Amino acid sequence: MLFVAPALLVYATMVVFPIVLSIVFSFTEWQRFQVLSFGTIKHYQRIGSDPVLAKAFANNLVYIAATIVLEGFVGLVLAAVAHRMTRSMVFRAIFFAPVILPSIVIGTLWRRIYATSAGLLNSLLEIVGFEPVVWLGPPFTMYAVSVVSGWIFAGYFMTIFYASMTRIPSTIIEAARIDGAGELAIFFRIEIPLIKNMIMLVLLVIVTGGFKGFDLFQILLRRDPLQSGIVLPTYLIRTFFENTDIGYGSALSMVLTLVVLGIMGITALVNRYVVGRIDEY
Amino acid sequence: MNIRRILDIAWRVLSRAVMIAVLLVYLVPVAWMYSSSMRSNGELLLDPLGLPERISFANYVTAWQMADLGRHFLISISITAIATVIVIFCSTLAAYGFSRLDFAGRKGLYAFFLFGLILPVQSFLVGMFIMFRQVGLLNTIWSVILPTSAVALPLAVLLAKNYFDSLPSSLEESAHLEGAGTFAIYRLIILPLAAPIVVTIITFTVINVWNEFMIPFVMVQTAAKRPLTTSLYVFSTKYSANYALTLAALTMIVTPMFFIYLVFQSQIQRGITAGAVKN
Repeated sequence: MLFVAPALLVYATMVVFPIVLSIVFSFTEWQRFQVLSFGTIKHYQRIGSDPVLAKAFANNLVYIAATIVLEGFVGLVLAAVAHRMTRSMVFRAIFFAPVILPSIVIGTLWRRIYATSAGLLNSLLEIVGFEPVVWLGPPFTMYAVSVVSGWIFAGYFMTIFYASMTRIPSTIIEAARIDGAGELAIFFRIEIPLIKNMIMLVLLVIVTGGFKGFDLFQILLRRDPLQSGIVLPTYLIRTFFENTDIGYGSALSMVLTLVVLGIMGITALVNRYVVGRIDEY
Repeated sequence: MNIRRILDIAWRVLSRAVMIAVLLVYLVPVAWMYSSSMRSNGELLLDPLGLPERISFANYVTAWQMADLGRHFLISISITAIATVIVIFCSTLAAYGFSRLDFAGRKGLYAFFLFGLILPVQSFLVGMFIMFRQVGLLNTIWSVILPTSAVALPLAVLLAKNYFDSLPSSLEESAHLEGAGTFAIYRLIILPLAAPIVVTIITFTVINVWNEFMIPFVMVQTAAKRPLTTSLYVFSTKYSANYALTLAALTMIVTPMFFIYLVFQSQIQRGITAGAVKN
């Protein structure tokens, strides 16, 4: 018990106690940092009729759909290609690199790349005759952010998928080749089914991560006056932090928590009763 | 046989083409960053794709001074070092307790810890902010060190416990027979044996704490106390018109990280994917 004590102390004071506080705060009436009264449910009543929250939630769903393709699917295809190459080491090392860099560096660099005037992307497009485009504004906002997200994480998920693919016995793939299977058939009929569990796990990471992502939205869009790229995490921080609305901010953080834990819970149940356990691989 | 051969070659060409196209998507932005960081802002605005006329470090010197990068580097280094020590100390001790010792509520407590793996930081962010505000620790390095350590702990405990579970207990048993106490066994036998997993824990803790943005964004508002990440956010907002200066600041932060990655590449890959891939 003594051994567990230091870790427990840090975890309890930094995670558990603040969660309890957040729950209490979400039922508390505030005047800036001043507690007025406890036991109100008005913050939760506001959730149902908040158009900005609905917008943020919808944006989260767009972001998740886009990153499933740009992070997950691209990562899977890159892994399959790398798996068929004899020397893919340099490619894999470079594609993985962005994930170790701070989001502030990548976000700021991409803000420059997307810049309407004198940005890298518009300058390149100008060569082939396109007019300058406002990438970090409607209707492109969410896709522009998702592309950066893909730039960071496609290589990360490629590495994970690649590691699973190398664990497939090469005899299975060779036998299929001898039987005349093409590369696409090998991809869809052998590799994907055999790393199915890892694909499910990555999907879960992308979907729940899609509700938690804050850095890129804040860094790429800054204050985002049109709110075209507002998502739950940025709305939460703006509510509690910039508008000092502690009560509603806490309620929003509970919404985010319940969404993420809910998805985890449903996945766990589906796995237990339908698919079998996810961590058997 | 001929068709097979043609298909084979077509496949090789196609896969190389895909990889090289993707490679460009990674290299062009970075090359552009390096190139632009050495040009004047005027040149950059006139011709964004141009190359620097000469190698010039003037932007670096200016950006270093104006962003006060030396100070913020030091703050980030202190935060990362202290948080890593806390995580290593707490996680290996706790993991040893969970793996080897029998005490009431062990399983429940362990599950309680692992729950932290799936919790979003946002679920405790508001409460944490008010708590730090109440005890007067906002705007100190502790308001970043303690939360980031706590966030790293559950995965560190999980990895270390799994590792201890895989170690045979015969060494400890013989040490125990020799009369060594539990803590002596932990310090002299278990901890040295745990070196590989400790390296993994150090890797992901250092990277995550060093890169952390949201926690200092909320907890530290005093300019002089900001770590590198949020100080760079403020700097690039303040000088948003000066592209060259911002890109020079980025370059100075990224370059040492590229070298570290080059040297410890496989170690770093293992460290960051540790959460998803089981060894």
